[in-house]
Amino acid sequence: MTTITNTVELMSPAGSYQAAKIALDSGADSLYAGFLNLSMRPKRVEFADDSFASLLNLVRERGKKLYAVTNVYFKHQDLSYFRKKFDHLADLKPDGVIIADVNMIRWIKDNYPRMPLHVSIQTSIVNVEAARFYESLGASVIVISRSLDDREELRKIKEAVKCDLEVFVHGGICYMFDGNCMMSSYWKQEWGYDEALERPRLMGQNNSKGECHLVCKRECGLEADGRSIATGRLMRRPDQVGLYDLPFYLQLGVKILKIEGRAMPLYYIEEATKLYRKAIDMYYSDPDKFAVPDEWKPEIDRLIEARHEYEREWHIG
Amino acid sequence: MSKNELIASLASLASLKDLPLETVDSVYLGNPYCLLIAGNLISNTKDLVSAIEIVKNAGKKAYLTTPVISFSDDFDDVVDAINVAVRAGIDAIEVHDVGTFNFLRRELPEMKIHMGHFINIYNEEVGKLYLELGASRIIPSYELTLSEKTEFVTLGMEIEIPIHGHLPIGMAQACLLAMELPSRDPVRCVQQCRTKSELVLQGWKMRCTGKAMVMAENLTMIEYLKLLLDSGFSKFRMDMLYNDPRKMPEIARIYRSALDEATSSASFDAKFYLSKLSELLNGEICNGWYFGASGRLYLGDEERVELENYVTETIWEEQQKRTSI
Repeated sequence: MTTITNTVELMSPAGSYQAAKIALDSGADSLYAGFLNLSMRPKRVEFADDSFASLLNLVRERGKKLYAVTNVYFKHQDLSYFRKKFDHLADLKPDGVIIADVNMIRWIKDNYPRMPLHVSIQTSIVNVEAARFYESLGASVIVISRSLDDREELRKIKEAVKCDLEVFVHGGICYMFDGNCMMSSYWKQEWGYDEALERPRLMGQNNSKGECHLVCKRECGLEADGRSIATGRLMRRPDQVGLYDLPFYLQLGVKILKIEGRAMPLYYIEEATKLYRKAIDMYYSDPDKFAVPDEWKPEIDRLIEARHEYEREWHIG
Repeated sequence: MSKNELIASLASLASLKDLPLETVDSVYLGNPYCLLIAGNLISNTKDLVSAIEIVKNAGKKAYLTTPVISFSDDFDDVVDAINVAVRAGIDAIEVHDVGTFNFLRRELPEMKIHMGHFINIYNEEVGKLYLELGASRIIPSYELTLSEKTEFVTLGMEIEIPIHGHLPIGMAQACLLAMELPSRDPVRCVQQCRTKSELVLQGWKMRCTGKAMVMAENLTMIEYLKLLLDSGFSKFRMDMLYNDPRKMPEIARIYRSALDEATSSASFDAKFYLSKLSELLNGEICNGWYFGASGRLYLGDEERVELENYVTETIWEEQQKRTSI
């Protein structure tokens, strides 16, 4: 039996303090959590200053890592807010930030050169040149697009850059390439007052506020020349289940395997983290013999069903 | 001579031949959403050379657009198109993928690069950074409001904004039409996108072009050309990729006349031009993104002012009341 050293990091989502505890108890090596108003998820799953500090204390007590998600595309009126908040965030010393705005990547590099930068999935990195571009800006880690499912393409990127790769291994996938979707604001955006920002702003923009209306998960009809052709949730993509690709990712040297789902329920976080923890440990205990057991199929199915339940809860599925 | 630039974007040689070139100052060549589209100038290099020649012979500028997303395997095709275009004298290249940008600034440092809508430039500091890195023109995200786009003007950079067209709403990996429309061939693309297709959801719709969703309505800012000029904008794009080719010449003529009048005359008959255009487009127009409304809506002047007042007065008043309770 060949055992090799576990070098990969299993990163789980934290949409609440409770979710964070559960993920850590379930075997996560690290967590990622959104900073209020700065990440691509609804406010209800983000952390304000004090709550982020508490989260960081929890993670440190467990000897694990925490990454702050600040991956919206900042508009002019958000820039000073971001800088002010980032100064505070940097004092807390998370293990890195996940970011998409290229100018802020440079700003952080200039002002906080020791802060590890993970270039967000929002930038849709699918080719070598894009990976090189972000590395040249100072990225420590590049998050690869979920739409890049070709192993050779991923291998080319790994071979082309020195920075580490972070790969989503399980969870929901958008219909559009990440960062390339404006369906929400096209359908419905309205003015409202933002208490945290203390000013009116547009509500319902995905790229700049993470306020996605989940259009791609909804029922629709396809009409061609005015005739109905198909109906259903035509844009809905099935959840990614990367369990079977684990050997490839680990042999390639992917640094971080990431589970999607900051807005998902607690039992999903627990089950998904436990499943991938078990799979990674099994691989490292004997890589040559790794195979996903048939007995795990019900667990995988429960995770897939959890997504459907979430969509039904939000009146989408 | 006016510094204004009226630009058309067209996918193919056939559509270029339909465009009265005297109405425009420059042309973007190619469809950035799918290289398989028949006649796409990005993937038909022979046609691309002809197209560049036609545009340049007419005394206009020719720009090549490049794909929104290019996987590493597709990159060679994009590089081929770029090389052909450069040899044919292209004036600039539009990029939507930072990988293509990185390639150009390294391999063709003298080439003018236009940073396209899908680069996701949401604030003027990002625009400034891309200019420092080698870009020459910035196209801010289409979903920014007019006020947000104006922040770019204050820094004096070369900015282009859309004033017409079925603008893109999103870009996907798979072709929805290939998956859903009947076809005798399960493997090869049979150009289902030639059929006008729409996705209908809960009382609103988008046009499905295969891999991209675009607006079901036409964006038009023809009513507000004077406002755009007064705000400091001078480079205006007519995205004609999905306009009816029979209507395209008239659309171009209307915008040309409107822009010339808005530029040179103190009085600009906005309603006249809007009415002409709207009739041609069967009333299917929108401009919501520009004024902080849902993108698919159209706001005339009264509605625009009403919305502004709502934001500056009503929302603030309500907040003051809540604070004082």
